[in-house]
Amino acid sequence: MRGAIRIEGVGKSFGDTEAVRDVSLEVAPGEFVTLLGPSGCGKTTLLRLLAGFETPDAGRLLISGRDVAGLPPHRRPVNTVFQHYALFPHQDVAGNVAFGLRMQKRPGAEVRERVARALELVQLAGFEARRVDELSGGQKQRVALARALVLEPEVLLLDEPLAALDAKLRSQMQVELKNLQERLRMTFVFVTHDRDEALIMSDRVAVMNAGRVEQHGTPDALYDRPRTHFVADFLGMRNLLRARVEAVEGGLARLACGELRFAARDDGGYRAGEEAWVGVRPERVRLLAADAAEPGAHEGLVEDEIYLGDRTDWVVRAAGTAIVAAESARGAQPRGRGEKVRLALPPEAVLRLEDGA
Amino acid sequence: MAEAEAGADVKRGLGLFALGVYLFLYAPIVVLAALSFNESRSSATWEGFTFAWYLKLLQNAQVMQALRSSLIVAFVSTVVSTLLGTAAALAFHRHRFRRAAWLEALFALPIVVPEIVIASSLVLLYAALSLRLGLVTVVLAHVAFSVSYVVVVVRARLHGFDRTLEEAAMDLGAGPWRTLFAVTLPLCAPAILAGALLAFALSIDDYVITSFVAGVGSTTLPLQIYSMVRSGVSPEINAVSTLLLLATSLLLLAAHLLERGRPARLCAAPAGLGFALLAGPFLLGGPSAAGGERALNLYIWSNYIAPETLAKFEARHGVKVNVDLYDSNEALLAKLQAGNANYDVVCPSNYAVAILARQDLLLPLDLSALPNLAHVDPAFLDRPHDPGNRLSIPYFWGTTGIAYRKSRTGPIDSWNALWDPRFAGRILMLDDARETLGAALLLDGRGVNEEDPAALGRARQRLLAQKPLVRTYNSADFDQVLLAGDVWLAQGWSGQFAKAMDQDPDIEYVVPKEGSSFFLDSLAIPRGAPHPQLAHAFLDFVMEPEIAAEICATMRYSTPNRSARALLPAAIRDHPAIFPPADVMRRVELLEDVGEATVLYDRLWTEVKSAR
Amino acid sequence: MSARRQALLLLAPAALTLLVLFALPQALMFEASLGRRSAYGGIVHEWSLANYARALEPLYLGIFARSVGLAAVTTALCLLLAWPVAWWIAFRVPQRHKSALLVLLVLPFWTSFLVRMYAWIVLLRTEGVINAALAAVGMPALDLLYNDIAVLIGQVYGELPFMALPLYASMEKLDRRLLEAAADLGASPLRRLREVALPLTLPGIAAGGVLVFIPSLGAYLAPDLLGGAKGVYVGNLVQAQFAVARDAPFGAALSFVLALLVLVAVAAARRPLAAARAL
Repeated sequence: MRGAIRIEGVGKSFGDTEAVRDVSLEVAPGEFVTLLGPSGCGKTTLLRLLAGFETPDAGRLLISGRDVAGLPPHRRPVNTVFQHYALFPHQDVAGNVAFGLRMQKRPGAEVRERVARALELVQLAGFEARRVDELSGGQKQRVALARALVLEPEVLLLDEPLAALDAKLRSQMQVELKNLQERLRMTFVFVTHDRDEALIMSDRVAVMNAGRVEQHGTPDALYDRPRTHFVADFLGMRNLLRARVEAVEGGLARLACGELRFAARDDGGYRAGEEAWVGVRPERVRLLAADAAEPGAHEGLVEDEIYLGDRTDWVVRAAGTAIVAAESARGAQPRGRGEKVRLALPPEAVLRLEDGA
Repeated sequence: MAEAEAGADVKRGLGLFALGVYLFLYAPIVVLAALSFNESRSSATWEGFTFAWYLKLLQNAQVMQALRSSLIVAFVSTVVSTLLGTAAALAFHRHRFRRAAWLEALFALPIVVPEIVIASSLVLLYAALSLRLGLVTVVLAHVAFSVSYVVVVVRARLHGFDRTLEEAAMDLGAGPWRTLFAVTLPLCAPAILAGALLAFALSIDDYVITSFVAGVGSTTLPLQIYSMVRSGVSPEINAVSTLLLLATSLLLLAAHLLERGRPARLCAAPAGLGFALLAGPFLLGGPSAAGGERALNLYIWSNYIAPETLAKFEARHGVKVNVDLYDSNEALLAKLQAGNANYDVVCPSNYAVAILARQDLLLPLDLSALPNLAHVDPAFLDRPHDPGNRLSIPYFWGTTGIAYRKSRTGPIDSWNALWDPRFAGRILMLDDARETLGAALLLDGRGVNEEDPAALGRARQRLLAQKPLVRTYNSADFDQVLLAGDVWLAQGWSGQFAKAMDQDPDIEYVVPKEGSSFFLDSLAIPRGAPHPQLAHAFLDFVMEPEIAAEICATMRYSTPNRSARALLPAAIRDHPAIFPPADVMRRVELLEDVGEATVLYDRLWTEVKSAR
Repeated sequence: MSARRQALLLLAPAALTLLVLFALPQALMFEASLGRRSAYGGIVHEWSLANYARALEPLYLGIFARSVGLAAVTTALCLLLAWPVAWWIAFRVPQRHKSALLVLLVLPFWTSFLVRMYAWIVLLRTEGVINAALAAVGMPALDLLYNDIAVLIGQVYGELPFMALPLYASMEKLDRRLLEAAADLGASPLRRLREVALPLTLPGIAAGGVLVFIPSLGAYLAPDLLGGAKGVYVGNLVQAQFAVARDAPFGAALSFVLALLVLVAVAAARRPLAAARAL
C-alpha cells in the first residue's frame, strides 16, 4: 500500500466559497496522476489538503492506507515541489536540499552523501555551494525537486512546477520528470492547467471543475471519450454543438443543429425532442471535393484556413453552422476562401456530452 | 535631444537636492561635534581645539553613571521588546485572530498616545502596585512603548513574506517551532535588526517617560542632559553625544560590511571599536551603585552640589551617595506622592515643602541631630511654609530679577524696562506662569502671591500687550541666551545670572524697585526614607560653615548660612546678585503656593502664550 | 501543537505586557480624567465630564487647531523634502550605496533630540554660525531664531526620516517598467510624475504621513526651544497640566481628546493605504 492515496468525499470551503466539493479519488502506488483544470477549479486546494497545509471540512484522506487527518504537514509521508519553488534564499543549494534531512537529525556524512545523490539525480552535481539567487529558473526547479526527492517520500506532490519555465525548457523537463518518476516508481500527484502537459506525462488525469472531479481516466480515454461538455472543451475539442434530438432509431440518433442535420451513434443517452451537447474532433470530420458523391455529406463554404505546421484546420460553414475540419499536412489540398466543399460527419465520430457541473 | 538634456538636468538637480537634504540633517551634528572640541565652555565663541572635554567627561562621575544607566536600560529594554515584539508580529503573520480589531488597537495605540500620557499613567500604575521606582520601572516603561514599534517594523517586513517558504519547511519535516527558527526568523533578521535599532534609539533618547518613572540610581543620560541644560548644553554633553554617535556609526558600518559579504576580519575592527566605546563607561567609570554598601539616596536639582563636596561626606561616613536629578518641583512632588521612590534626602522649594507637609509626606526632623542649624540666618528660619523648621532646613535661596547688557540698554531699575518698545525683540521672559504674571502684578502694585481673579486678569492684559516685544520665553538656559547676544534684557533667577556676570562684565543684574519674588530651596527627608539617620547626618553636614561656603562658592547660589558667608571670598560675599543689599531684601517676597488659583494662573498663562 | 496554539503562545507575552503596562494604566488615566484636581494637585475621584467640557472651550480648541496646522505643514514639508530624496536613492543610486544612504538618514537619531535642537540654536541665533557666515561675505545678520520658521525647521528636522523611509519602501517595490511605459506612451516628465509616480507611491505617502503627522501633533520641544515658547501646542499644554498646573485630570482629558484626533487622522489615511494595497 506504500504510496497509495485514497480520497473519500473530501470537501473544503473558504468562507462562502466551496473550493473542493465531495471529491473521491484513488491513486495506485507508483502512479503518475495529474489534477487538471483551470485556475480556481480546486486542484491546488486538493493538493494542499494532501500536503496538510489545509484541513478538510468533510471526508477522509488516506495515504499509504493511513488516515492523515489531523497530521500536520511535517508528519506526513509526502513532500511538495512548489509552484515558485519556495527555495530558502538564506541557504545555498546544499543547504536547501539537506534541510529535510537535518530536520530528521541525520548524521552529517549521510546528509552529504544523500544530498550529492539527489543533486546527481536532477543533474546538478557540483552545485552544492551555489547561492539560490544565482540559479536559472530551470536549475531552481531541479533544486526544488531534489529537495523533495531526497527525503524519499511515499508521495510527491507537484504544484504547477513547470509553469514558470519557457516552452522549450518546459517540454524537456516534462520528459525528464516522467522518466524520473518511472525510474523511482514513486507516486506523483501533479497539478497543472496545461492540457498537453497533463496528457504527455500522466498515467491518469483527473479533470477538475468548480471543486469537483468531472472525469478521470487515462489520457487517451479522456481524449477520445470526454464525458462532459467542460472536459471536451478543456481538452480542446473544437466542434462543440448544441443539437436537437429529432429521433432515435436503428442505433442512430438524428440530430439537428440549426439547418445542419446529421446522425450520431446512439449510446443510449439521447432522448427524442430534447437538446444535447455533442462534440466532433476536427480530425474526424471528413473534407471532400465539392463534386464528391457521398450520401449524407453537407455542402459548405471555406471561411478560414489555420495553418498549424503538421496539419491545417479549415473552418467551413455548412447550413449556417461553422465546423472545423482538420487535414494532416500530407493529405492537405490547396483551397481558397469562399471555395465550395463538402464535409461528412461520420456518426461514430459524434460524441454525446453531458452538461457537467 | 532637448528632452534628453532636460532629463539629465533633472537627474543632476535631484542629486543636488538630495545632497542639500543630507546637509540639512548633518549641519547640527557637525556643530555639536565641533563644540565638543571647543576650548570655551560657552557655545557662543570658538576659542580653539581641545580634547579636554573628553577627559573631563571621563572624570564626571554623574555623567558616566547616567551613561551607564542609559546603556543598561536601552540594552535590556531593546532585547526584551525585540523578543516580545517579534513574537507578536509572527503571531499576527501566522494566524488571523478573532477580535483582531481589539488586538490591533492594543498594539497600535502606544504609538499614538502622547508620551506624557503614558508617563503619568505609568506613575498611577506603579503607585497602585507599590513598585519601587528604579531601573526596573524604567526598563518596564521603555518596553511598554517600544514593543509596538518593533511589531510595526517586523510586521511590515512579514507583509511581503512568501508564506510558501514556511510551508516548504513544514513539508520537509520541520514542525511549527523549527520552521520559525530555521526559516522565518533568519529571513526576517533585517527587519528584526531594524526594529531593535529603533527600540534602542527610542530608549536612549527618551526623557519624558523616564523622568516620571525613574527612581534611585536610575538617572539616564537624557535626564542628566535636561537637568544640565540650565547651565547650557555643556561641551561634555556634546562629547558624550559625539561618542555615542561614533559608536553607533561604527556598529552600523560593521553591520553594513557584513551584509555586503565582506570578510569577518574586516568587519571586526569597526564592530570591536564600537562595542569598546559602548563598554567604556562600564570599564572606566569605577563601581556603580554597590549592592550591600550603605548608601544615601539624594534627589536634588542639577548644579546644586559638587561631586567633591559629596566625596567629603562619603569619606567621613564611609558611605556612597547616589545622586538623582530633577528639573522641576512637580517632578519631585509626583515622585513623593506616588510614595515609592526611596529617597533619603530631597530638595523641594518652599511651596513644595508646604504641599508635602500638608500631605504628610515628610519625616519630622530630629533637631537635636542638627546642631549646625545654629549657623543659619534666622531670616530664613521659621517661615510660613514650615513653622519651626520641623520638616526642612534652608539650603539655597535666590531672587528673581532682570539681567541686562548695560552697553545696549543703559541702567535698568524697573520691571517697566521689559515693556519698553525700544527693546522690542530683545526681551526674554521666564516661561513660568508665576514669574511672568508676578512681574505684571508687581507693576500693578500687587504682590506675587495674588489670588484675586480681577487683578490676575489685568496682569494677563499687561502680558498680552508685552508679547510682541518678547523674543522668547525661557526658564531653562535664559542666562545663556543673554550671553549669546540674542536678547539684551532677561527676566530670570539670580544664581544663573551670577555665573553669567562672571563670564561677561557687560552684564548687570537688578531686583526691580517695584519688588520681586525670591525662592528658598530646602533639604528635607521624605517619609519612608531607608536611611533617616544618615539623612540627618547629611543635613547637618551641609550646614557646617566650611561645607556650606564650599557649596556656595562652587554653585553660586545664595547660602542662608551666616557663618558660611563670612568664610567666602570677597568677590562672592559681596556679589550683588548672590547677596543683595538689605534694601533689596526688604522688597522681595517669598513665592508661596496659591492653592486652587494654580489652575487660574495656568489658564491665564496659556491664554497669553497662545495669543498670536 | 497547532498553528493556532503556537500563534497564541507567541502573541501572549507581548499582549499581556501591553495590557498591564499600557491598557491598565490608560484605564486608570481615563478614570482620572473624570475626576478633578485636589488642592495639592492630587486627584479627587468624583466623576463628571467637566474636564472634557473645559477641553472643548474656544481657548483649547484654538490650541488644538494650531497643533493640527503645525502637524499638517510639517507633514507637507517633510513630503516635499523626502520624496525627491527617496526617489533619488531608489532609482538613481547604485545598489551598493543604497543601504548606506538610508542608514545616513537615521543616524542623527542616535543623539539626543534635545542636544540636536541646541545645535540648531547655535546655528540659527543672532551671533550664530549662519549669521557669522553671512557676516563673512558682508551680508547683514538675520533673525532666524524664535519664530515660526525656526519651529518648522526643528519639526521637519525631527520627523524627516519617518517620511523618507516609508516612501523609499514603497518606491523600492515599484515596477520601473510602469514609468518606462508612461514615457513610451509620450508622457512628459511632469505628467509622468503626476499621473504615474505619485499615485504609485501613495501607500508610502500615506504611511509616512501618519508617521509624521501623529508625533507632530504632540510636538513640544521645537516650539519651546526654537520658537521661543511663543505659541502653545497640545504637547506643551498637556505637559503643563501634569508638570506645572498639577491638574492631572484635565491633562488626562486633553490627552484623550488628542488621541481621538489622532484616530481620526489614522482613519483618514487608511483609505489611500487600503486602495493602494488593492493594486
